[in-house]
Amino acid sequence: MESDERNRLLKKNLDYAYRKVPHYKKAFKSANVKPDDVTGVDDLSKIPFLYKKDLRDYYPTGILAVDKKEVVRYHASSGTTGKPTVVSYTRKDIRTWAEMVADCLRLVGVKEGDIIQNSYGYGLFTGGLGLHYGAEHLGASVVPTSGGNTQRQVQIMKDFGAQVLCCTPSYALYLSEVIEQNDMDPKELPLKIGILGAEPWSDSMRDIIEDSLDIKAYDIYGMSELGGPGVGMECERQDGLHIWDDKFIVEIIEPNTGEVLPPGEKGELVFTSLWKEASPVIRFRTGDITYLYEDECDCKSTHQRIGRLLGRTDDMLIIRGVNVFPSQIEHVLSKIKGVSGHYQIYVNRKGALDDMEIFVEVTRSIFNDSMKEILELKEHIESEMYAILNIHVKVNVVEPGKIPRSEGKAKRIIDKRMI
Amino acid sequence: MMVYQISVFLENKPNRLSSVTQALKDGNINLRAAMIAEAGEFGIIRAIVDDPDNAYKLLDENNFTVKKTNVVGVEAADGPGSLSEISKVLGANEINIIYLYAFTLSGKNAALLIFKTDDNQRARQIIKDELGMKIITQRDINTL
Repeated sequence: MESDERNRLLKKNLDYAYRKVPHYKKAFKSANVKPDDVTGVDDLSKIPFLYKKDLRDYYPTGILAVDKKEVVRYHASSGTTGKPTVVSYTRKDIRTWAEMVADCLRLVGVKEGDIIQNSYGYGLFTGGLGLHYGAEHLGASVVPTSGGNTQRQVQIMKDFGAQVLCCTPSYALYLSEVIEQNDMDPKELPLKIGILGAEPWSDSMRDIIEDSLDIKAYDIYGMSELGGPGVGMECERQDGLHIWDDKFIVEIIEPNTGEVLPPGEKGELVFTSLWKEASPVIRFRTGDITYLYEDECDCKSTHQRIGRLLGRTDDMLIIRGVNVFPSQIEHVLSKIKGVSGHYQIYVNRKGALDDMEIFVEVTRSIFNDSMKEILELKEHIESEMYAILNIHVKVNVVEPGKIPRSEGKAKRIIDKRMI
Repeated sequence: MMVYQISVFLENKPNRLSSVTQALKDGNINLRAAMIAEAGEFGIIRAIVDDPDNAYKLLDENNFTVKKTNVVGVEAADGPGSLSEISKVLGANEINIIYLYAFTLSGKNAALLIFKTDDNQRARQIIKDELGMKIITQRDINTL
């Protein structure tokens, strides 16, 4: 997109956010800046950042720029403590998002009439419905299997003849194992493309997936705060993800100073939306670390590229596509009697699936020569964790003093996954 | 008429048991009976010792999660049916046995049974009155 047109869109969206959302008016004022002070992308850095914790304060409507009656859908992702971050969509938002996802699918050669098995979870999580609407918008035939029940997924994949699979990379790997257990040959399946995202994955994991499913696997980027999946997408070159530059202004910043970094330098991804009506985001800090490409891609697309994700600025974990913050775990534990507050999270892959265990230290006073009370405590913590995180977590109780203490930042997470 | 038991909550990991037994050894405390109950990643050691007060103090000072509880000790004839009689009479009196461990006493032709019930006091009374078995005290333990 021409830079004049982008600058015009940016100014329009800054002005819109300032007028419609009290949070932005307040934040802009305290930074002593007005939308008019920004003439274009080059001086966007005058505007203050938006953080995930800001969004959490607006539970349960989220940052809302329209009347509630105009909201046709809500999605949510886990917040850093108990409350989730809510994102709202107008009818137009849903349509624009579907167009973005359809463009992502087109970029890797998915066509009208292709059969798409969508194994992203349907629900508050944006993955399932996001891909669903995008695929329908493209005119593909969607098989909405959602997550889980893998035996049936494999059967349906074979019977319906899916050509495209949408799911998390770890689930794709798991599917390939189940296909093998069923003595099926992936080469005999019509499957040829994987649209994989919602968690970070490496090129070596891509090699394994492509090999075991006999497909081309492409990385799709998104985040509920930005609308959902479809913010960025790899093209057939598999060399960086294109970000739709008529939909977002993307910046890379130094996470500590906030300074905007030039292409090629690694930093935190920051997004400003140019399309969102209900929940506009202005300089939203994703916490994801990557870099901008300088040159244009060999493919037809002129949309700028970012590198694949290199990590996080915070301690957010992604377990089976679900965001998990250690602070959420702390929050749950703080409300339970009999635990000391010292804990450790241990993440591993069991087969292809993420497995999370939490080691929780009990207090000395909880022990009363009885097995029953400790087992009940353990079950109680497990069910509380499920209520907040929506994934099953194994809890191991540990005797007092046995979680390693450290002088500085406690080592809470041990991540043994190969990604 | 009481026997004190020392129980320790422990991670189910190599060396955890030996750290307890080492502490007891260092305190010159003699184990008379012991059992371990496990539930996956953790377990409970229960032990009858010759000096429960001192054992408790030692383990507590060494940062173990330790509890001193009173349990029922019974000396029964070392022959078929002893335990059956006890469990039958307790059942008939609606007393529930939570856990139990037993040892034969060398050179005495008798067995030592240690158990915890939901009503220890009544259990002792019933075993003594209805079965005529000997209820063990902490003093008996020390001279076993």
